Amino acid sequence: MKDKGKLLMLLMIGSETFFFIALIIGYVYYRNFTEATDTVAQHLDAVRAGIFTLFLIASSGTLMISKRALNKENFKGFNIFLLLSIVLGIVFITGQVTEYIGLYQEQITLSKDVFGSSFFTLTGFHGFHVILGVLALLILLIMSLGKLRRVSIAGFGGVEVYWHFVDVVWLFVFYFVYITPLL
Amino acid sequence: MINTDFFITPDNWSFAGIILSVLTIVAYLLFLKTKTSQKAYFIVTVILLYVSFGSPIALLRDYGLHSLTMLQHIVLLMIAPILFLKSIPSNTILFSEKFKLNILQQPKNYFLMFWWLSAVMMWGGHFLSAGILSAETGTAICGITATKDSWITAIPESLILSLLFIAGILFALPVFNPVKSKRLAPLKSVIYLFTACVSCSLLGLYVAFSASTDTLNSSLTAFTTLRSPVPLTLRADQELAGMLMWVPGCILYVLASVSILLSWYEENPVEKSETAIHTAK
Amino acid sequence: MSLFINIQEGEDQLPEVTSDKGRLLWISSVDHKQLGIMYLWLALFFFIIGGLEAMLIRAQLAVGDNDLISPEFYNQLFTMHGTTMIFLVLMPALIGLATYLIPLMIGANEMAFPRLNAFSFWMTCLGGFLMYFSFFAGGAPDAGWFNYAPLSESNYSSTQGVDYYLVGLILTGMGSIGAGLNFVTTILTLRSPDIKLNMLPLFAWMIFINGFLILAAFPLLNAGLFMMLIDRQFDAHFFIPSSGGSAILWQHFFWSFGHPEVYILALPAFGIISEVIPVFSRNKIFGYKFVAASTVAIALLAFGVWVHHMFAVGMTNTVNGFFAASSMLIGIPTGVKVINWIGTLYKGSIRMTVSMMFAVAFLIDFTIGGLSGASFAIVPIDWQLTDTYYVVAHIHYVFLGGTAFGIFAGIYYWFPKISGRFLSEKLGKWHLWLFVIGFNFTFLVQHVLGILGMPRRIYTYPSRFGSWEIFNMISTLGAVMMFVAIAVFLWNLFITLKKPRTAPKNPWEAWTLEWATNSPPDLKNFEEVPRVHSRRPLWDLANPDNPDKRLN
Repeated sequence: MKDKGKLLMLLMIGSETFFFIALIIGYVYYRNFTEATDTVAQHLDAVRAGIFTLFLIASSGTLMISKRALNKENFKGFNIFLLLSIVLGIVFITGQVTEYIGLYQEQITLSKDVFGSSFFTLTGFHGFHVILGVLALLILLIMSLGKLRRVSIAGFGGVEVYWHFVDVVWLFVFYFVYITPLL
Repeated sequence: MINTDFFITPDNWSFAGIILSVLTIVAYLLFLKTKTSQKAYFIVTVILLYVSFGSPIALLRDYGLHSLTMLQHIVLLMIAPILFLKSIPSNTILFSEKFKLNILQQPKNYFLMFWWLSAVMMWGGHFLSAGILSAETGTAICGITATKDSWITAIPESLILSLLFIAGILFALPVFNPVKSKRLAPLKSVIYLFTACVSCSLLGLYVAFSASTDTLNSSLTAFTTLRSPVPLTLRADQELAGMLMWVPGCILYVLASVSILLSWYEENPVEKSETAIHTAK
Repeated sequence: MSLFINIQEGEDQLPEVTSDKGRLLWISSVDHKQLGIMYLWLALFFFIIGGLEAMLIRAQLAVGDNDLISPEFYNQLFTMHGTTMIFLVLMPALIGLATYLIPLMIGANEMAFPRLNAFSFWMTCLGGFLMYFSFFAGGAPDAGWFNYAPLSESNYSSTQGVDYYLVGLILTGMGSIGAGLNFVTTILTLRSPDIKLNMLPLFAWMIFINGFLILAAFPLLNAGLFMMLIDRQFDAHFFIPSSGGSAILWQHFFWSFGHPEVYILALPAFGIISEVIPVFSRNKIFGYKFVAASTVAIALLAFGVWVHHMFAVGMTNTVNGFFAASSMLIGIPTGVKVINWIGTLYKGSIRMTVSMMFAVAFLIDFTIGGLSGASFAIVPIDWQLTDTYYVVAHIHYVFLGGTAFGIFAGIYYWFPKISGRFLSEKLGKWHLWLFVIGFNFTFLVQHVLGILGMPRRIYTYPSRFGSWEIFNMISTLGAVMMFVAIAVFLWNLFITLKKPRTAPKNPWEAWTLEWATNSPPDLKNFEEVPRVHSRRPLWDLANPDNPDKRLN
């Protein structure tokens, strides 16, 4: 493979996948393999989370459009759609933060019980990855706005793969945390 | 104790199945020109299919043995398709240039699709089988419960098994395509098989370790034990199912990977192209 | 057809530490050779510390009813000894050798990501020193190197030690993942255009596979470590059974990392042995493809055997049975390798250098370790012997008699390349014999101690157990011999590094590409890379009439 930045990112994503698999296994283990009942699930609003999920998916879409613009050397389109992806990512994070605040007001905390621990750890680590992704996208945006007009395709390739990965991980987290208790 | 009478009773061995198998083998031997090894592969494939569809082992399913369903699935999804593809001569119409279906022509380009398709079919097949099992025996399988008259019972089990066999063939196609040039590159094949292993392992682990949950303790523990010719407690049965899916399944793919690599190490493109020129002459 | 491929870059020597700005040039370096050397020094530093800890442990256990050190300190010692030796000695030593050699072996001038390489090193370094800082911060971790919950949770381990353990391992773990990423990308993207993937030297091939193992195994550990850190720092409940958590889950996480980790440490050592044995027996490796393919088999199977560390926690017979079977199976590819190495020795004209002697010692002692490992795959034996000194003997036969002997073989083999000087063979033989004999004295008797029932990690034992006292004394005397051996080794290093550089390019008449560079290599490894047509490029250059079979 020629593009070593993308290759590195793909390998790192493979590695991160195992990290998230481990966290998800933790959550599934407590819910399905022990006799405890999930105390967090009944306080979760799947519809609200679903709407924020759509924002995150949309940001992946806008990033793909901006990549297409970059390949056509349409820098204006690239910047606009990159900015849109960042905004959508920030909306998702805001959604998560407000959700956390709501849960803490209902006394659902990290130290409440094992489900509180797993919920905040799993979604927190995912949120942390989203924030990192937003920062990486911001750096790309600043670089393309500033004197460095050409964002290196390799750098963009890596960040793009990472952003899609964050998106896909969320779909799994959303399924296991929000959807399965409803089934 | 295992009830051996159950396996010896001729009534439990499907006679029509034997006839059909023999006819298939005869037809294969008559109409297709193949190497001896390929003939052997084909015969083993047919025997495996017969064992999973028409032997007492297939009937054991009526006793609600989850591990047995899993065994059928492994044979149909993983072992039989590979042997089947190995037994097909590369000049079969399905794989020749005349057959203008792009997906079959260039399975390399669609390997991601094949992977996902067969992964979905594998998980779906297991899920449906577990549902049917649950509906028929009234026990919970991995937390899956279905009532006696739910829609799930309307699906014939043999349909699911046949679909699994097809899914298995689709999955194995990019790696074991009868036409060598249409296979994935060796290292890619190893990664392809490995990622399948991961997905297999996760399901196997889930099945094995969810066996200790309260859903099982509250159900009738002795239910399958008493009547079944192969007495197992529900817990042992389910753990066996999970471990079967995981360990032999993965080892099979490890063996496949190793055999692919062994021939790859000695590969020499110069030599290969020379022999190609030679045969062209 | 030209004999060489041109690659452009400047030509300098590696900076001396003592030269003007030398120290700064090393600290800020992103050169793979400098980082490799720093990894090796780091490993040596912690090896000395870990060794001193081991000596204290052996001194405490030499006689019964001993109270040389306090029980609390004893717990900290064995925890830190295990953690240090595995994460701060063997890992950096192997990663260091690989960092140094991989670009040289594949005809590249750098790793794919030099700054990531430096990041990996400094993370490992930081993690190690942070872990040792715990001694000054109220107490080192004291819950064993696998840190079982709930003993390691805050209600049972009230000092900050375990927190330092968790953070330290997370940092070194990130460093290892960075190194793994770098190895895989380097081998995939920076090979000299002639070298196809199936032409890699075995060391490079095993590091390549090892990279994938690191990438898959370490995240599992990191997830567990983070969960426990959140338990301890933010009062979560992951691994605390009394409030709904599961202590077994920690064991699953730890060992699903821990068993691949055994192979992460073993595979590079296998790679070293696969380079050393052919060169010193003047034979091509016997069955390259089997050695290489069995590596892949080991890597894949490594993830399916971890429960054999947990047979005693009360899984059902079905689960235990399958894991016993898969644990037995993983012995097969390892056995294949041993047979191939012996096959390479067969009818070779063997040169008994220190490096070769360490390789032979590896063959014997690693096989013993492998066999005692296979005995643990048998569930009833495991139930009897788990958490006894039999386990201690087994782990040391695998890690010390296996990996460490492999590293020593590699150090003696590559030292002329890395430093341009030969380690003294005479002192080397003292090092070897004292170390090998001392090692077998120390740990062979521990098998017996384990069968007699001496539990691991006990602080002391009643002196009326006569046989225990005799065996423990033998064990301690063996440890003293190893201690002397390491002193000899350090002395050897010290006097050798003062000598002038005399090593020629290819002193051992080896065949892989690293021996085509100067000793030590210039800052830019290759002015021009020799054309490669087989797995032994330098053999082909030296014997144009009798080249190996062409592979490209």
